[in-house]
Amino acid sequence: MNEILLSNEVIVYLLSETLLYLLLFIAFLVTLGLLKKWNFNAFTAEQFILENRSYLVMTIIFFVILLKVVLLPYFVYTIDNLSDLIPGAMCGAGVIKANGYGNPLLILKIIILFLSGLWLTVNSIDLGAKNYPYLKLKSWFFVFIFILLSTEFALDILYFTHIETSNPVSCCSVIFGQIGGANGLPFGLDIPKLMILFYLLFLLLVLAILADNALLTIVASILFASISYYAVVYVFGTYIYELPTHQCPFCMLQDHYYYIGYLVWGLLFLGVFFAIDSAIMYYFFKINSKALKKISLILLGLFVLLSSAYIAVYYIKNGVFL
Amino acid sequence: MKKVFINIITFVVVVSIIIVLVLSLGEKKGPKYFSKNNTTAQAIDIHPKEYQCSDCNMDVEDLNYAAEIITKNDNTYFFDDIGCVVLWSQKHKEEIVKMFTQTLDTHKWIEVKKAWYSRIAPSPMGYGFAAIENKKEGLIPYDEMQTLMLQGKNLHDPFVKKKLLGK
Repeated sequence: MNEILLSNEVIVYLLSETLLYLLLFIAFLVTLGLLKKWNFNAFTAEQFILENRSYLVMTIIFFVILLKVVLLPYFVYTIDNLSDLIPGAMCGAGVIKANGYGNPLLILKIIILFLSGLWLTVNSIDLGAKNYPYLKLKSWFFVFIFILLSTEFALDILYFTHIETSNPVSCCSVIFGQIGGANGLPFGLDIPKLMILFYLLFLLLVLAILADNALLTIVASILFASISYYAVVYVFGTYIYELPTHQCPFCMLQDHYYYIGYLVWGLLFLGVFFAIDSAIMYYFFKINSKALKKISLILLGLFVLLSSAYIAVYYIKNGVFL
Repeated sequence: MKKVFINIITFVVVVSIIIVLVLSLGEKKGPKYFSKNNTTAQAIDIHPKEYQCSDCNMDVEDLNYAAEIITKNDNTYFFDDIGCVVLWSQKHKEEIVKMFTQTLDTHKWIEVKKAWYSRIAPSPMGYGFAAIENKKEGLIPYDEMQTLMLQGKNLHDPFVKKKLLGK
């Protein structure tokens, strides 16, 4: 057994994932039964049992999804801690690239969390109504999420069992191409244009939310999330590290930087999620949730303020930009 | 009135975003990774820092050590060190048509198998290998250099370094 599987964080992480997966598997089996036999208009004992069972299953899924929300930052924390065991890795960037499973796993986790959040919304709308109008929809949605979760679980196992502690991995400055002065930005952007695009997209997203334009909100959210990733890695990150050559999405999660990365990425993820969530509620379910919009605007505003504050503080202290 | 105002600003913002994207897509950027459409399979003359090494990502700056690989789909890949050529061709499945290297003595592009290799040159990646056109004592052929590189027996290995350089 390799050292990775003996590390405390990995043991806790894999055990939690296994337990949650078992719970979800039970929920999945019951959901299949529900999908097969559900008929809300029938006054049979079987339907009564199904209704009780559906409530139990939805509670299980709700519970598991909430724990999954906590497990994503814990996964990132685990990856970051493993950098002590793997030669060459200075932070999570090297560890996640230790084998081919790392990056797909991280992306899949983010997608699953996003979809799970949407499932929670559909679930709350469904439970709010008296006749379970969206039970079939949310059950099929759960079946789809469960397929992704099974892939995620398999990738989890494959990833952690295939990390070699004898093979050196690259550190973040190699992965993000600083050594050769590589331009990792999309659309041939340079730093000033990236910044202009970042603030313009933020403005567009705020306007789309205020104007109740659901489609534009979804498009602007996706664009803002992608450009924000580059802005944080290639611009704001350098001010967090106070080093123009240090461009990494993972190092800011470490204690040297007061774990600020969790807040930065968390605000971005949640802000974008609530924006899309409110747009989907408006577009598909005709529910105009002012609270969700307000939350997304606050979170996105905080994200932009926090990121920009690093540049402002650096400029005030040193009188120059990096 | 408020809605009209928001719509006008939204329109202006969308147009600005498109302008920024169009402007940046139209600009010539820094170092590139590879060149397309080399149908004649000849070595391409390059300027320092025009391309990046396809293996290690460093700028191809010192042209004395530069190398190129031309693949069957007419792409030309550039390298800053002949050691990177060996590592890249090991890792990639592309069908290689020709491989060229610059020579330290005659300063021209020749096919890698026609050159002889020093083991103690101050090459950009520090492997120590550099191509020389005219055979001298102590120089090795490409195949031997390739084997040594893949075995890690280059100047990165302290034992090899001590044996070859005495330090």
